Amino acid sequence: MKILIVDDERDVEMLFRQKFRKETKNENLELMFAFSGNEALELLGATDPPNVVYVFSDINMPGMTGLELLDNIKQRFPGINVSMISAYGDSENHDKAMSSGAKEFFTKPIDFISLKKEIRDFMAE
Amino acid sequence: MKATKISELDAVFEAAVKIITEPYSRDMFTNAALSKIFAPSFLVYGASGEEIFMNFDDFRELKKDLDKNKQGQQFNPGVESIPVFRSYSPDGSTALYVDEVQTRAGATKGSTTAGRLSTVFNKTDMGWRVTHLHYSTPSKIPVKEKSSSLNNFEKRIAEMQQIIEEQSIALNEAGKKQQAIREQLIKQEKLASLGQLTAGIAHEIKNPLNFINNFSELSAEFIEEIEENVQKLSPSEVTEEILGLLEDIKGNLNKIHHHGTRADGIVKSMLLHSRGGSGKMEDVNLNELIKEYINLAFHGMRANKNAINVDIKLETDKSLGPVKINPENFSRVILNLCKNAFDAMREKQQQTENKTYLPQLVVRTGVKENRIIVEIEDNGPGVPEEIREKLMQPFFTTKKGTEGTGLGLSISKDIIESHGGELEIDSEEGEFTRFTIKLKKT
Repeated sequence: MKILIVDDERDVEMLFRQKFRKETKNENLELMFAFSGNEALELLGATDPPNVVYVFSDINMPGMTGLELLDNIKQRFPGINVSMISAYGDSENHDKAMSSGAKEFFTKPIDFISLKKEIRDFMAE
Repeated sequence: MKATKISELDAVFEAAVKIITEPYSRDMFTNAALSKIFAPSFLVYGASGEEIFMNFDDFRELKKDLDKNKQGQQFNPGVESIPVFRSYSPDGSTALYVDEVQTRAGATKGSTTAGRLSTVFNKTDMGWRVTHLHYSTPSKIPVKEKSSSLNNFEKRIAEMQQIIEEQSIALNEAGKKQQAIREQLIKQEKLASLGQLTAGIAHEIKNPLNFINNFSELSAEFIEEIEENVQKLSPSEVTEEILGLLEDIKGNLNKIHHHGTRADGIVKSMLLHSRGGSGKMEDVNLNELIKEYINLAFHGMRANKNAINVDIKLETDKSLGPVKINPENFSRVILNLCKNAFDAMREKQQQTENKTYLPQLVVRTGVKENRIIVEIEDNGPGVPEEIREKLMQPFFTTKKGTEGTGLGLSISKDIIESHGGELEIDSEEGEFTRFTIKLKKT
């Protein structure tokens, strides 16, 4: 199962790869990374149908914001789940994301216990 | 000027003095007699506004009136004029005499009144004649002697002067106040923009905090794995040392994680405040919220100039369950009350001679008469009874200059009232000030 993480901070890749070391080694989980909204859309559009099933995106990014990316994905790839990961945990961002079809809303600093649980539950389905 | 000319002049002057000072008599005041003294065109001024004339008829009328009104004050014959100043024009056509006139006041024998007489003479075809004469008795005239209209006029002027003085003082004060308000507004404006900036910064701080917290956690997990592997090796001095060092690193990583989490908590509180929107009522652990915000207020004060040492005592009722409040607004009240307490205790510390004074803040929570009580008590200078009432009015402040807006307590009161509660103050001068928040128990 492939999941895509979108964040303009490159250290996110190192953090996620280390955090999910065991899961990527033992359980059928593959991590992909994009550092902007456009890059994420390119990646998703590279294969038809896209092989990514779940996208986790930051909101505050230069260029396309996470919320715009969410709208784009929902329009072009309605089958892909999207959750947000943002430092801006205020109700405005949260409500906007949820009404646009986000599955979950995680705040930074990321609580990996709940994030792992979300992924595990999803994989179980 | 030649002596003969001067004696001619003096003769006219003496006649003029006589005319002015002696009582009215028909012979002396004939047109013929007067025209020997005054030039065809002349002006005489007396001390008051009424005493002015430019022709003989008026002069005679006035003289008669004066004699009637000033009986007993009338100058006696034999007045003495003492020359003060003499000036003659170089061409010999004009002269100015200034004299002090000593007269005996009729009522009291022997008393004298000093008058001042200024006389201007012109040389005419007929000889020296007076063109202008001014007589005044400035200071010795009793007030009642002045015409009542002049008297009233002077009184009015004095009143107006007083009013103007009072108003200029008030204006001055208003100006100062306005200046202070302007400075306050500028400060508020700066703070507002700083607030917006803070919100942005606070969010961005969360990103590096995310890495600090998660990488430290991750590293701690890895160290555990290393430890498991090391323990599989045959134990030796080296493995012991490695395990000891790994234990230390794990401790350090936990510290990094702990303090990162702390910083995250502070950022969260900052955001709560900068957002400024009306939050929602929720069930909150009141003890925890109070503890967090007292801590924040204290460290905020410590980070500012004029920091003081404060002994903070928390006496919270552990049995207090969740309380329904608007945490965003309620925390603002706690911050306000703490800030006031710190300011008051700082003032006492700066003023007191007593070096052993230790500022102390006591915060209590509990339940009394089926209401939830929060008390914030400082051992500062106290609040005088006469201003206790005003304390919660908007814009009332005891802080000097631009230090206070006078809004903190009135906003706090509004917030507590919007919770259906009450904010009360109790104080004893020199001893303590205690604010009590009473909330309905839900």
